[in-house]
Amino acid sequence: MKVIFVDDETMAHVKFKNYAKRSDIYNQSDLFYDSVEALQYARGHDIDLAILDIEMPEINGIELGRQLKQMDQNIRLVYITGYGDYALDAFKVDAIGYLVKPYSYDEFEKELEKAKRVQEIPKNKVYIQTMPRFEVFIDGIFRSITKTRMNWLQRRIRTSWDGFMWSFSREIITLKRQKRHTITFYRPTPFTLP
Amino acid sequence: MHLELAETKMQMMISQIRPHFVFNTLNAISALCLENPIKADEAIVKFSKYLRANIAVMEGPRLISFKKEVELIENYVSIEQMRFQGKISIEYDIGFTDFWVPMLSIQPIVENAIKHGISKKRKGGKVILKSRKENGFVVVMVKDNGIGFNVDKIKQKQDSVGMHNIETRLRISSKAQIKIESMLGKGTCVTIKIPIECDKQRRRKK
Repeated sequence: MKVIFVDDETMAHVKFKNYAKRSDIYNQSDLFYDSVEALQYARGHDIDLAILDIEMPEINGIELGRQLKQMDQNIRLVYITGYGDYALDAFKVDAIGYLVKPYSYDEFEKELEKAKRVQEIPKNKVYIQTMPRFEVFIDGIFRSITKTRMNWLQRRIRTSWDGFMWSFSREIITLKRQKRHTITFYRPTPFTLP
Repeated sequence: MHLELAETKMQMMISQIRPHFVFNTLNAISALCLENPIKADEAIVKFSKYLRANIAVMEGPRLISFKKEVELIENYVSIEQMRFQGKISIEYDIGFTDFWVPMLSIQPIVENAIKHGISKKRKGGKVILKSRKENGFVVVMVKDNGIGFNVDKIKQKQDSVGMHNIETRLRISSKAQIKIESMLGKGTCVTIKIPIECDKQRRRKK
């Protein structure tokens, strides 16, 4: 699990480092003193969990969280703040957790566990779920499709993969999207949505 | 009597310890406990000093020598420097100390300069605390190179309640005049002018 920690206080870093080592995530963690640095980093790296202070110069933690989520909605947000009338703001940007300073190791660990538990939302991918209903997700968002298109997809899936019981399996298959309307399966032949 | 009542009321309003500061400091101390117990010990002593002064003010208004107020400022600033290492610097340019001020009346101005001024800047900044004797007045100046603010706009904000209280307190107890100048991106300067005559009368009464 790739983690970033952003806080403008030196001592907050000292504490995070200590806890991160104890919970064995330190090697996968990058620490930043401000939002601008963190955003620069996020542009070039995958992040699973962002642990953020709220009151920070220039771009506060809530705004930082919003921008991180825009880049990659898979990033899970946990806020750590000194004094909290921010809980509501935090949940508006879909934070999964909220800690108040000073926080204990147990509380910290619980938030890590939660972050690991929350299922990863597929990114830049098309998911077709065949059971219990036939549904298509693009970038984790449900897309309604026309009856014709659905029939076509189902036919396509059946004919392309003889022997695979797509329409009966509970399996979720992963597709890789290349262009807006072109999707490719990881395996066999590419096909185009009509 | 009337004055004293007014002063007590102001005292009650002003002595609001900032919870954000309290909990962030406790978090910093908890970090030190894990990594450096000797520094943690020092930090607890400093933080207690801060709390003790703030609680003392809550119990009733009092005048203290400017020297003592500067000690409270030094103590407070060293806690902030512990929290934000390398980001906060302060310069003392104390040319005159022989006067009295309401306890914790200058310290919150320094606290404002740090909280709203320089800690909001990515690279931090500097506060200068000056005191001078100038034709019948004591002039105390708190100047920072923080983010600054729009003086007209801030008057409507809740944060300015604290500043308003400090102004009222200094006016009632020391007949002080306060001037606040600020420029966005440049910093803020708070100037307090206390007439020396008034200061002497106050002390005689004590």
